[in-house]
Amino acid sequence: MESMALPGLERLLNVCQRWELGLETSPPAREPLKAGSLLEGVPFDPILASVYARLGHAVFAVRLMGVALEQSNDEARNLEETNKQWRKWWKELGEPVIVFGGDVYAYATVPGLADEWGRQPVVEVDTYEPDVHVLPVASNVDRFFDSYSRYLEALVSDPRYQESGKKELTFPWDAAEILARDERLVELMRAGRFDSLMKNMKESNATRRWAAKVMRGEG
Amino acid sequence: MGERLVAEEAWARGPDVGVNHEEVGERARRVEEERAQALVLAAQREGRDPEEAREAEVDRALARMVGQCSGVEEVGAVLAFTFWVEGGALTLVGYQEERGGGRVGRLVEAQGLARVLRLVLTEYVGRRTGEVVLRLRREEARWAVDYEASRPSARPSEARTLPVRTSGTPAGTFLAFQEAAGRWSRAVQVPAGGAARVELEVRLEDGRLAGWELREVRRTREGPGGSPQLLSPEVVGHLVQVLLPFSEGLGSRTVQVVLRAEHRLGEARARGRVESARVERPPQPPGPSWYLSMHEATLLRWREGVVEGSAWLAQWGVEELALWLVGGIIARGLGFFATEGLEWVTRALGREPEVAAGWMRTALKRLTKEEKTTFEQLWQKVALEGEQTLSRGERKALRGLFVRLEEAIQEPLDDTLKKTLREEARTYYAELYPQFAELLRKRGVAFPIHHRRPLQYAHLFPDENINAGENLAMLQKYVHGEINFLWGRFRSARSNPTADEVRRAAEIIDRHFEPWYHRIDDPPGVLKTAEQAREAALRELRSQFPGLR
Repeated sequence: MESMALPGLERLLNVCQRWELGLETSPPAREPLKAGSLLEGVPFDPILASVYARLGHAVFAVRLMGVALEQSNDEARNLEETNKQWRKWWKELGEPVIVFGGDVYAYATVPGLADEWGRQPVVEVDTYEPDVHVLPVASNVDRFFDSYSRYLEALVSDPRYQESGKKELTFPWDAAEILARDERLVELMRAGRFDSLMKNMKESNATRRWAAKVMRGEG
Repeated sequence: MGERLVAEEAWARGPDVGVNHEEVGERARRVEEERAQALVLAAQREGRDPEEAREAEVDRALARMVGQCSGVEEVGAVLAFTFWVEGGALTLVGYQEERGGGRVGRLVEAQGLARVLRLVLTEYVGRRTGEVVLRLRREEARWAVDYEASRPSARPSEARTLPVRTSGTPAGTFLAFQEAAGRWSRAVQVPAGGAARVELEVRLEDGRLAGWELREVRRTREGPGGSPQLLSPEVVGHLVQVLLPFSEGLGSRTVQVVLRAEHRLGEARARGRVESARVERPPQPPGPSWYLSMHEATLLRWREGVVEGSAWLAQWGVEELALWLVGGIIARGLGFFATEGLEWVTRALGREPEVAAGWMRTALKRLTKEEKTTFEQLWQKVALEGEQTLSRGERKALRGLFVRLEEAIQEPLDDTLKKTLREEARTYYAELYPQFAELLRKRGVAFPIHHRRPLQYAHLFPDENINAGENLAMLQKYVHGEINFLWGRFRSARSNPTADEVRRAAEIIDRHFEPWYHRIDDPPGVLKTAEQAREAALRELRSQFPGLR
């Protein structure tokens, strides 16, 4: 399982290099976490296991303060540390999640929503709010990297970015069309599989509009 | 790892325990100054050769001096040009002319004078900073050039520091001066066969002619009588040539001009020469020094090419230019844009410029992209071409945008904007505390940036910058969780709190959690745990806010 193809990750690495957005990585652990092994008592996502078989940590699009992949190698075990701390949010979320990285918010896999191959969908978790805010962003970790890479491309191709070099688009808010191409994500959303995780988002008009856009499949 | 410190090293250096507001304010000012400096440097270097600009300065000054001399034939006449020289920029600050004895000298070729002046300007004046007086004396068959640079003098506020690469005055400026001088000259009457001393005041705003006033026409010699005479067109031309170089300075100032006019019987019109022209400046130029440098830099690009300059400026974006924008508003006085119904905007802009700039940057985020673009275009016009060039529609649109800003800052933030502001808070915090930059880049998830007054209540503090340095504190994730728990309780008890209630709650939370602010681990020497701090804060919140669980 660890050697599975990761086209999304490849694409993200490529976009960072092609657009000179900055990329920081470190070598993997000698014994990286294995697919299905338990982290905080829940199964570790097989795609994440494959990612950590290649990388110890990563910061994508450093210049834009992009997404960072928490470190887990012989130098530091931040991934494990972080998830230990995150257990306290499980109760509020209503189920366990495994945080693997983030920008200002965290990105986490949801073991409870794994597919038949054990691949877990990815959500963005905002714990800055007194009640945790969750947005579904990918059907699996590699699709997340794929969508994020397309978001970065949209961002750097935007004339406003090209003029001022400033980040004018925000993930995932300005990436609904991109996420809509992730068919399984749309399926899960339509089937209401994220509803309980998104329970605190019901009041938010911005979220409703955004989710509707993703689910309409405006890809 | 690069040049940034890793978390462990930052810790070894000691974290910022007890960071006080003055310190944070000072760092914030430094960050703003660095932004201003970056813009100034970019203006100087991007796509242009500063050496060419230095040469262009010399060429322009030289051509103008030679031009002034060309009509002077009286032996003994002295033309004195006073420049402020800085960084290769030559700003004319004074001009004086002394009449000669009346004897007309032989024809002098301009080339010889130009050669000497070039030598003086490039070799002697060179790269010094200070006042330089060039005294040109008409002799029988040549101009003698004397040069003095030792006179101590204060730096005039209109002095430029960046040389400009243009060959002369823009056509629009020339026409404006020509038109005003023509109009003004028709109001001057010289007694037939007599002489008059004329005093006038010319007000300038950067390169623009802002006003022109005839102060006094004093008859210094009555003639034999007859109808008074108007000034000849040559006098108008000469006056314009004397004044144009002054338009290269910066900011608001007035040029005081004294002109001697004389009518000779038998001639159709009166002759005249400028006796002196000197700059009078406001006692202290408004706005901080970085504003002037920033303004000079943006103006520089615009002066070198209106289209390219505007494009160059556009690439910075209105938020990046917030500092320049705020400086410009301060320099013009708040009354410039104030309209009925603007309360918070006026209050916010009345603060220190660096603070106001931070507020402006965050507040502008609330406008739509289209509104921001319009704002940027209109502001650029005000700053570079002058407020008076706005059409009635444009003026209305600019005021409308300020009104729109006033409304927008009183609306709660939506989730999209919150994420944008959090990302900016993290970037800004890393600038304020570079020792944490690496950590924040790699582990933003584990070390959130806490808004002491939460983003959720930003609209209750519309004149404050929610992303100001003093409102931000990096925390360990679990400590942030404890604080959020308290705000959750507060929100349940007060669904629509007042600004004062939020302020009080934030103060209570600060008091209990301050030891954890700006730290990557638990504070040493603090006996309580974060959980205990939460419980103590909760007790205090309960006592202050009845109904809070």
